[in-house]
Formats: sequence, C-alpha cells, structure tokens
Amino acid sequence: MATRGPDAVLGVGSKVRGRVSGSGNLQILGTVEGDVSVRGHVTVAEGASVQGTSLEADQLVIEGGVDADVQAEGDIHILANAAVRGRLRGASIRLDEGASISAEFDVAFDLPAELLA
Amino acid sequence: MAQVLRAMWTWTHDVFVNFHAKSFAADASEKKTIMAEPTTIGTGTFVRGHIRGEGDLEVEGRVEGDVQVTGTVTIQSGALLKANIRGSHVVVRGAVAGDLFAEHVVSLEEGARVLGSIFAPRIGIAEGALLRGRVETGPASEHPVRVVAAKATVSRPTAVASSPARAASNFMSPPAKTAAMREPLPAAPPPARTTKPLVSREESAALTATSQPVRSPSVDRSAPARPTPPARPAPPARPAAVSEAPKTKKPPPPPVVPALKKGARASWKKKAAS
Amino acid sequence: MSATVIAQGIAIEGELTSEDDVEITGTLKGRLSTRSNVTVGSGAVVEAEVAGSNVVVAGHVTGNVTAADRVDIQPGARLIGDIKSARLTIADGASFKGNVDMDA
Repeated sequence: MATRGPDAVLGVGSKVRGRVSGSGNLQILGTVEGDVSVRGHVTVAEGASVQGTSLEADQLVIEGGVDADVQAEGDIHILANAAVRGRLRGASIRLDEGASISAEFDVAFDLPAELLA
Repeated sequence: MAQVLRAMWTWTHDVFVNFHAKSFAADASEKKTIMAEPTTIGTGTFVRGHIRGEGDLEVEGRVEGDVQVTGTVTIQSGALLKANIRGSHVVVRGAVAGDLFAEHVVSLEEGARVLGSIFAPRIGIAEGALLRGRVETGPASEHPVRVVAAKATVSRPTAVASSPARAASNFMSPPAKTAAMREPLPAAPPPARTTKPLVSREESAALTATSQPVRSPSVDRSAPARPTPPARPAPPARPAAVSEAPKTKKPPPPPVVPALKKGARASWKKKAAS
Repeated sequence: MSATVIAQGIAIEGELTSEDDVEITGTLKGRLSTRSNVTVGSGAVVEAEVAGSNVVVAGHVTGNVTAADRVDIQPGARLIGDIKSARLTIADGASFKGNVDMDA
C-alpha cells in the first residue's frame, strides 16, 4: 500500500480515455481506457478498471479490473475481487484466492538445478 | 437363516482380516487404516513414472512424470517435481516444473517455485511464492495435460498442447482447444461446484470426450442444458452437477473490461461458495 | 530419512528408487529399489522387480525379489518370481512360485 496518501485520484465516476503518466502515487477509482505509466504506487480499486495496452508502475495493487500488460518495478498484489487479464511482470506477484485471472505471470527466478530441463 | 449366514460371514471375514492384520503388523510397523492414510513420497525417494489414484498425496522427495489423484496433493518444501500435477487441492511449498490443475484450489505458499501454468477455479500465490507461467481461474478441465517429458516409463502419448487462444472479446472464455484430455482422470475434471462457469466446463468436457472440433468460445454460456459428456471414459458423473445455469448473482467485480460479456463475468466470478 | 508409503487406492507406474523404508499397500508396476526396507502390505499389488535391505511380503508380488539381508514371505502373501537373499522365510500359508538363490 502507498506509504502516503495518493498524489492523484481518478474518482469513481471518472473516465479517462488516453494515457495517464507521471510520477507520484495514483489511485484509480474510475475507468481508464488507455495506458498508464506512473513512477509510483498505483492502486486500481475495487470497481475500477484499466483497459489498455500497458499499465506500468513501481508497485501495484489491483482490486478491480485490469486488461493490459502489467509491469511493475516492484511488487504486484492482486486482491480477491480483482479480475486481471494480460501479461504480468514484476519482482513478485502475490495473488489472493478468489481473484479471476487469465494471465501470464513473468517473475524472474531460477528453479533448483535438478529441475532445469 | 440369512442372519445366521451374515453373522457367519462377518465372523469369518473379521477373523480373516485380523489374521492378516496381525501377521502384517507383526513385522511391519503400526497397523494402518486402509484408505485413510495419505501416500507419501519421502525425502529420500525418487519416483519416475505416474502416480495415480484415490486419496491424498504428499511429496517430500522427487517425482519425474505425472501425478493425478483425487485428493489433496501437497508438495512439501524441498520436494522437486518435474511433472504435471492434478488433484482436488494442490498445495505447493517446493519446486515444480510442470502444470498444476485442481478441481478446487491451487495454493502456492512461501517457498514455492513453479515453472508452469496453473489452472483452477481458485488460485492463491502467497508472498514468498514464485511462479512463471499462465494463471487461469477459468474452468480447469479445458486445459490439456501436457506430459512433461519423463525419461522412463511414461506410457501415454503427449497430449496436444494447444495454445489457449482466447477469444479477444471474452475475458476468461475457454481457450480454443483441439486437444482432448489426455486420458480419463480419476476425478479430476469439472468440480461439482455450483458457482463456476460450468457451462463452459461441460462444453469442454463434451469436447474432450468426443474430440469434436472446438466450438467457438462465444457459445452462449448461459445454456444450462449441457449434455453430460457420456462418451468420456472415466470421469465420475461430475458434469451432471454442472448443468445448472451459471450464477447470475452480480459479483462485486470490477466493471472491468468493457469487452467482458456480462455472462462471462457472472459465471466465473464465483463468490466463496466453493 | 523419512518413510515412503504408497497407500491403498494409489497406483504408481514406473520406477521408485529410495533410501527410505518403503511401504506399499497400493499398487506398483515397474521397479522398486531401496537401500532400506520394503514392506509389501496385504492388499498391495506389486508387479515389479523389488530390491531392498529387508523385504517383507504380505501382499501380491509378481517379480523378482532381491534383499541384501532377508526376505520374509508372510501367510497370505503371494509371490511369483525369484528370490535372491541370504536369509529367507516363507511362512505357512504363503504362496510362492519361483527360484531361490541363497548365495550371498
């Protein structure tokens, strides 16, 4: 979660058609149709949705809908009410049971040597 | 008369069972309750081949091949598996190169390292668990079990690994598939849960049973009258439970993707009830 | 060293190699080899070459049995295969068909 309040909030009824970018923490409560690229903590709240080609952030918390390729510098946390589709890349991806997912998880790590095909 | 015979049989049976139990227990360790204990592949054991059947399975050692059981599969920390794994619940704390399928839940706990895809209605990946591969909470049964190449006695042909070609407009719609399930799974296929997009599950079950050409994923998901896949060799009549109308309760889920069909959302956004 | 137990209801097809004690009440087809002990429980069906330190058979085994130490065929057991072991007991009531080699 963000350590300080969001710098920017896209309110519940709002709809952005286009690109959202910048730095700071962003809380998305409405709808974004487009790409998001933010140097900061991004939250897609329950009921919110982001649909686009890419969603990039430092850290990401997803409780709403995301249909995009997601890239986080750090961690991605997908909560139980989320619905996510796309390719997800991050240092780590945490998934709470109950979420609806149709995605490709891409996290860097190595399997123990015995299992490397 | 019947009672007498029954009493006699019971007595004889008891004597027989006890006799064997005693002789067995005498040399072996404790007497175990048949069926109640889980199967355990210990830390010092390596199984190369298939593990199948009813009951729970715990793996602490190594497995190369394929795992399909009706119960809970627990991959303990330190375990190393190069295999596809299927069970009613799959819990992973060790390392797996292979796909995971569960009727109910796949849960990756801290320490888990998985290179492969996960298909289950509910999927949890805890902090400290790492996964690289597909994650699909859509119906698990649709996905072919790709045989992980095992050197030795793998006797079944490799299933066609069809690439999930999702209908672009249908989030979570069943991937277009041409592959049939590799083989009759003990009880692995469609769960009898009532909150899942059972329609699509049955659809795929029917698909795999008859190897029909793939139907368009945009088939009306709300059609409840899905034929129970009779042609399907082994699976328990689980699909029967599946032939209910998809849950129409409006889940809290995100208004999401405009592309999402109402029906699709409602169907897999099951709430709790698994 | 932990124990390895193949419970009834479970079938393994392939090779099982181990350092653990292995107990089978289920089914095994293929090959079983452990440095420790093997117990084939009553109810077990084993179609495999079995090798262990001590091998106790109370169930059905079709395959050769080799033990570094001893082989015990219990009453009610059925073994079709050769036994290679320095020490051997075939109990009254056991069924055995095969050769025995007791040379060390």
